[in-house]
Amino acid sequence: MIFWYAYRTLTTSKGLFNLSTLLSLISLSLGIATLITVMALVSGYEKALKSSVFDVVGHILITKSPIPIYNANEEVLELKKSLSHKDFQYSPYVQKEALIVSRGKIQGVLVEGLDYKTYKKVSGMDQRITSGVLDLKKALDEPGVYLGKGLQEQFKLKVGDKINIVVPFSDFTFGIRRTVKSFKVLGFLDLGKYEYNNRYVLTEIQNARQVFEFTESASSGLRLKFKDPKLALISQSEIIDKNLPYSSQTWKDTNLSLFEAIKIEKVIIFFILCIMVVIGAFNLSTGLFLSVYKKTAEISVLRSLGLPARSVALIFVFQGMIIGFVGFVMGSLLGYVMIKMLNVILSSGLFLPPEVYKLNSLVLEIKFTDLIYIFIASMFICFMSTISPARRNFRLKPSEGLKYD
Amino acid sequence: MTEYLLKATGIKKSFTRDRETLQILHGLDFEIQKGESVAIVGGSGAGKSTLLQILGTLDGPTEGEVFFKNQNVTHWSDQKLASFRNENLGFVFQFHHLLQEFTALENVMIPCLIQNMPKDIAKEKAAFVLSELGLKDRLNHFPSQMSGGEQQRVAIARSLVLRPALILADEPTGNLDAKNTKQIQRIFLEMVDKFEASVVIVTHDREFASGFDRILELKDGLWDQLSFA
Repeated sequence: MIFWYAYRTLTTSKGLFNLSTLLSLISLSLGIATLITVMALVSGYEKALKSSVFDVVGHILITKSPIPIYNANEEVLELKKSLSHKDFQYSPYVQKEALIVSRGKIQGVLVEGLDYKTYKKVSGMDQRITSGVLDLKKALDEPGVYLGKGLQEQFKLKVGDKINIVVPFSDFTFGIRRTVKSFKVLGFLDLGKYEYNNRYVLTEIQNARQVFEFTESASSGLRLKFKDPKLALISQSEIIDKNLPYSSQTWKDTNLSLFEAIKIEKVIIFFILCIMVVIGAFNLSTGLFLSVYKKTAEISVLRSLGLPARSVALIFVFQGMIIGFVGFVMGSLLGYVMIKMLNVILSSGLFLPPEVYKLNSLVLEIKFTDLIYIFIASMFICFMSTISPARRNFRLKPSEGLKYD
Repeated sequence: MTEYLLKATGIKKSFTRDRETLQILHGLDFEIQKGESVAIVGGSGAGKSTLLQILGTLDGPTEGEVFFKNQNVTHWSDQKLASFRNENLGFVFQFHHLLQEFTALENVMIPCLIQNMPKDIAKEKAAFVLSELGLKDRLNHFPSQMSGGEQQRVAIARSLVLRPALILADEPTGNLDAKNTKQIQRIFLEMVDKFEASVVIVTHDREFASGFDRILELKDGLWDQLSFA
């Protein structure tokens, strides 16, 4: 009866579509839409960041730094023996700082050599090529390199150009010396992050071994990929806890402060934007208050017919919750449209200067858990906004609305 | 001795506004037997409606007590009083007070739905009473689509649908023109008789009041002694 009455009085021409209800619906929807959009923006940023980190860094890098890993298979067997999550793919890599020289310019870079036979199991580098295909076998044969697109712009390079990689060494016998090797540019990579694009040089592992004077099967470390990136974090804890003779760097470590900052920012943004929903709920509360005053006679009649004060108060709570729910649905739809529009605008790249935001592309993404949190928060806020009008109702005497004088 | 249906003893009612206390009722006694009909007459401001609201437990007295079938209902909780009103009392007001967003049928169904009666049974009961009142063709009409007389007939139907022991009516024809007044008065007396309810009615229309078993006159919050003669 209570819900029926609450619903019926809301959905008639004098109910849901009256100005005050409409205004509270609009303000609630706008607040919720903004909350959803901004949360999607933060989630999208986090996802884009993670995706570029997974493609370039992988889930976890295992090294025996400062000593190279000489036999990858042996180390993997050792790791599988010690780690509880043994289901992972791996690929060795060589990674070191060097200089590239081209057209009279010098730039410090990070040269990485990947094994053309196994790198696909652990890296999403193939998706990062800006045109053509990534062919590390060709990089081994030519020998050739793929460069971050920032380096392409800095050196004004095109496919087929030659660059030199210079590696300085210091040892006891010869003092400081250097090796220089010439490579053909085979393509360019968009690594998602500005700093990667301006520093990253990719080649086949054998080339890297030659340049950095590694022995035949040696590598800087192993890149591991699990089914779930979180397993990499667990494995890292195990390496530390069990005191295994490895150093590790997970996807989270490479951007630890950034990931932590995003997490905190997301919580803060959520609460700040909830204030917008609260403002909407104030309108709702005002509307319900008006309704209590306008419907005093009707409330008195219901009380005279036998409806207890508590049930009448519940009618207003239900009405507030119905408006809150409709506001959430409308806000979600509006938020969805806003997200779609923003994705179109952001894909143009005009509003995301890479030197500021570290990412070259960003796609807003609604997370189901965020939606649940927003739903719970908005329904709670709407519930709170109904309490005061409902209490006012509770205090009304049944005879209050039946005075004619 | 006849058993009373409703009894009120020493009813006093005062309102305080701007630190001034206004005494409306000055210690009234009232009693109505089962099947009896009583009309309360009196001028404006005599306290008729206030007394009716106290008898109907819509307001509490400042002093005094109200009994229903030997039970003192004066200090019952809101929840208990609500269910008491639903089961035993029927109200008809001057301004019919129908719920505008609901059809005639739904308005009459509401008392049934409050006591969680299944919707189809409530519908059946409401349709029957409305038909008895000559509103068979108006079941699905909204109050705004009906005349004043028809709206008041719906209000009477609403008060009778649960066959209460006592009907309390506050100037049921006070808002109607002369033609409708006569018609509603006739219907009201017929229906109350048919549904075997006791009635307390507040009216200023002495001719209408003459149709009731007893007439009481209220003057400045006290019974006019003449009315007991």
